[in-house]
Amino acid sequence: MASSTVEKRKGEIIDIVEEVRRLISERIKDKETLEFALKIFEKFYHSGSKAAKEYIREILERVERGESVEFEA
Amino acid sequence: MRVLSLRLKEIEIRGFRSFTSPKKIDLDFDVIVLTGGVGSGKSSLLSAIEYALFGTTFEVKERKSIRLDDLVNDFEKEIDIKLKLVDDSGNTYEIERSKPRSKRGRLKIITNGEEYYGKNCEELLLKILNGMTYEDFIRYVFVRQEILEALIYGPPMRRSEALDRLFGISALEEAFRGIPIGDVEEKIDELNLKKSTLENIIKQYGTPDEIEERIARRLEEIEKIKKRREEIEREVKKLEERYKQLREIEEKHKTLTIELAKNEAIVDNLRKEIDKMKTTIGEVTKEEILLTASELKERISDLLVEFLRGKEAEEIKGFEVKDEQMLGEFIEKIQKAIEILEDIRSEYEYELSALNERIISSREVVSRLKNKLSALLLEIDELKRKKEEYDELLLKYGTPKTISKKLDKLKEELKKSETIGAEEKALLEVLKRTIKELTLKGEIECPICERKMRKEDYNAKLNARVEKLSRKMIESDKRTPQLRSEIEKLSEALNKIRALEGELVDYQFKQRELEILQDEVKKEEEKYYSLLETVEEAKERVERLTRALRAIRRNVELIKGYYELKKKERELRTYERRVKEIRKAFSKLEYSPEKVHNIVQRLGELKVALSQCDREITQLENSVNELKNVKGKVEEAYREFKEINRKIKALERLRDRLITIKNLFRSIQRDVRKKILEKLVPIVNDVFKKIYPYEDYEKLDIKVETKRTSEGYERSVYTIYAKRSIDGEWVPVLNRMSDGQKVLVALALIIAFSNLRPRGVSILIMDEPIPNIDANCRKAIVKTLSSAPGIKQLIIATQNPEYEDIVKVGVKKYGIRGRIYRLHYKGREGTVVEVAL
Repeated sequence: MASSTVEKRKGEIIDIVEEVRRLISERIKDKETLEFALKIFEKFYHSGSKAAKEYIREILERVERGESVEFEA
Repeated sequence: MRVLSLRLKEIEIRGFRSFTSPKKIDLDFDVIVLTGGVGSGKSSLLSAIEYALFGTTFEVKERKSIRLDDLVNDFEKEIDIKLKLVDDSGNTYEIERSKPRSKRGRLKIITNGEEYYGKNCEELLLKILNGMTYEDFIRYVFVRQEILEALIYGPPMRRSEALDRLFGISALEEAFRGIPIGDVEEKIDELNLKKSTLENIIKQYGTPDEIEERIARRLEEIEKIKKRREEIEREVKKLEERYKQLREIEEKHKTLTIELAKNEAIVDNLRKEIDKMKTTIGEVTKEEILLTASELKERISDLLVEFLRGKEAEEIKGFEVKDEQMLGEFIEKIQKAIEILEDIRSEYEYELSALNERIISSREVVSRLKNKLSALLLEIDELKRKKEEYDELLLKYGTPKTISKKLDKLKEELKKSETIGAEEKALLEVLKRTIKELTLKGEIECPICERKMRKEDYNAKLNARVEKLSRKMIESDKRTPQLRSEIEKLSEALNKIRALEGELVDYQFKQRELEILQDEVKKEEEKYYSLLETVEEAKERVERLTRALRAIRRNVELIKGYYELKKKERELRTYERRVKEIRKAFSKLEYSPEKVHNIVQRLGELKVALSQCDREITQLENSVNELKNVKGKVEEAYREFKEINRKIKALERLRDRLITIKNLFRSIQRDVRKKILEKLVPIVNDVFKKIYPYEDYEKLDIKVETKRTSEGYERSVYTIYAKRSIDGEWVPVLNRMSDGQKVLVALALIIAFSNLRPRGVSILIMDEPIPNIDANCRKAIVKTLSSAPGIKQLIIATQNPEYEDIVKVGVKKYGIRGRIYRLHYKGREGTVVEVAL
């Protein structure tokens, strides 16, 4: 689920996902690393640990194969 | 579309878990309590709401204990759930989810009379739910017993995990733990290892350019060596030609050497032979030899004449030996003459041998005749002796006729004598017996005349008679042997005379024969002596000829030796000349073994150099090929090295990023946790005061400590403290409070947390949430929940029937819109829902 597709929830006291995303974006200046961090968080948050690990392993394999990796959050 | 606080209005379930035939359940109440025994379908109903909203359930997605297909009732082919929601503005949303067995599920949304299908439906549903994800739902809305259990009874780590999950930051913890930095580092190490191997290869062989340079250098070297080789080959060619010439000269030299050696050997031998010949023949002059030849010629000629070979004698005599050159021919002629003479001698010898044989034969005849004569003489002598014996016998005994007559007489006399004797003997016997009888009888008759006589008279007469007879018998006994002896003597004489007469019959003939034999012996002896004379003569001639031939041969040998000597001397001179010629040829050849040796040596050196060149070229070519291979390998290694380097850098970048992200997640987790707790703790205290109607604990707090896990990383651990009223001490809830108190603390946490959720979803679903608490607490909970600002709708599934009373009191006392459903499971009919209030 891309963040843009979700309408900002109103009235919430704390939105963990938004808060984490905000903090990640605030603390990582490098665009690629930022996108990668957001992607990893999304994966761990929404798809679960197994899928997230699979995703990172895939990235690792791609890097190992010498393919270019683009991180899209 | 803007959606605010949502409530559940109605659900229709078919084919989902324990539900078979469609069951429509009204959910449009503030508080709903679902009661029923184990397996009655309470949890199935709650899961049906979960499935309708998100297309999955906690068992499928989180626990992974079942698959989606396992949600389909065994007696139905598909799931069909219709859930109606309503917001504060009265908008209704109908969510329909269906899923045939073994097929994908479908979603349909009907809102304000419009139907939505397919991909966009999920997005629409997310909007309807105010962006509430499944994770939000299981954290804020659907509180399961196990979360409460983890909060109440779980060990520190599990409790902290449960709280992190509740706060929605467990993903950060999982991310922190799950980011495989080790894997990346392992890959980097692997690649570094490969890199180091490749570096070694490159270090070992150098860069491709360096190798190319080495190849070029080697190719240059090959070219140089090839040029050097060509020069050597040219020199080799020249030397080989020169060597060929020298070889020819050498061949000639060898031939001459052999010839010289041979000639020298011949010269040497000839000299020795000449010396030997000179020793043999002594010092003779040519004149002496010619004189000897002349004499020899005369002698042979005479001999030939003597033995009646006049023609050959003439020929010999006519040959004049003028000089020593003619000696050869002379010797030949002489040899022929000698041969003739030898033949003559042989003939003579043959004749002599024949004569000898005849002599032997004659001597044998004479000897035989003499033997015969001797035997005959012996025989005649024997006959002579026997004649004398015969004459003596005739003289002594008379003629055979006389002797025969005498014998007849004697035989007759002997016969008589023998007869009388026998008669007398018989008579004597009778008489003796008679006397004996008479002696016994006394008187007896005469046996002859039968007259009676007196015994004494008769005895006297008989005795006289016996005496007379005895005398006669004695006389007779004396005469008989005499007669026999005489007869024997005469018989012998007669026999001998007669035998001698027989033997003496051919006495005369033998004497005649002796005379003939004696004549014959005499003749044979004469013949024998004549032969002996002839043989002696022949022998003398042969001996003379032999002597002459021996002398001739001696002279011939002398002449021959002389002739041979001269011949050898001539031959020697010829060979000496040849030796001189060869030596001259040697000097002309100008042959020098050193030259050949030098050329051969140089050729050898050049060939060695050539093969050295070839070896060097081969080595260099091999080296070039090897370098080309190596270059390929190195290029490959270089490419690989670059690639690996690039990969390592990319992996290091990835690792650095992951480390950054990992550390970032941990710090964000810490910060978010802090922020949540800052907001949560006051609300927890408010809720706790409402649901815990006693005074012994007045306040709660949550503290976070860092602990190292068994896996070796740091983990934040929550500890809930309660302030004890009696002494104002903060005590750990889990160590000091009862299970019921702990449940209430956990519930306070959950209720408080639900206040932090997005306002748009105002439902709280609780599955067996509050065991071990008393009725006061239960009432306080229901009251609190039903009046909580963020909760518009509360659904509790429980086995405890006391909740029915709480709802009933709530409805009666506080005007809460409540509903109680009792659920039963009825086999093929599935779950049956009964309205109790």
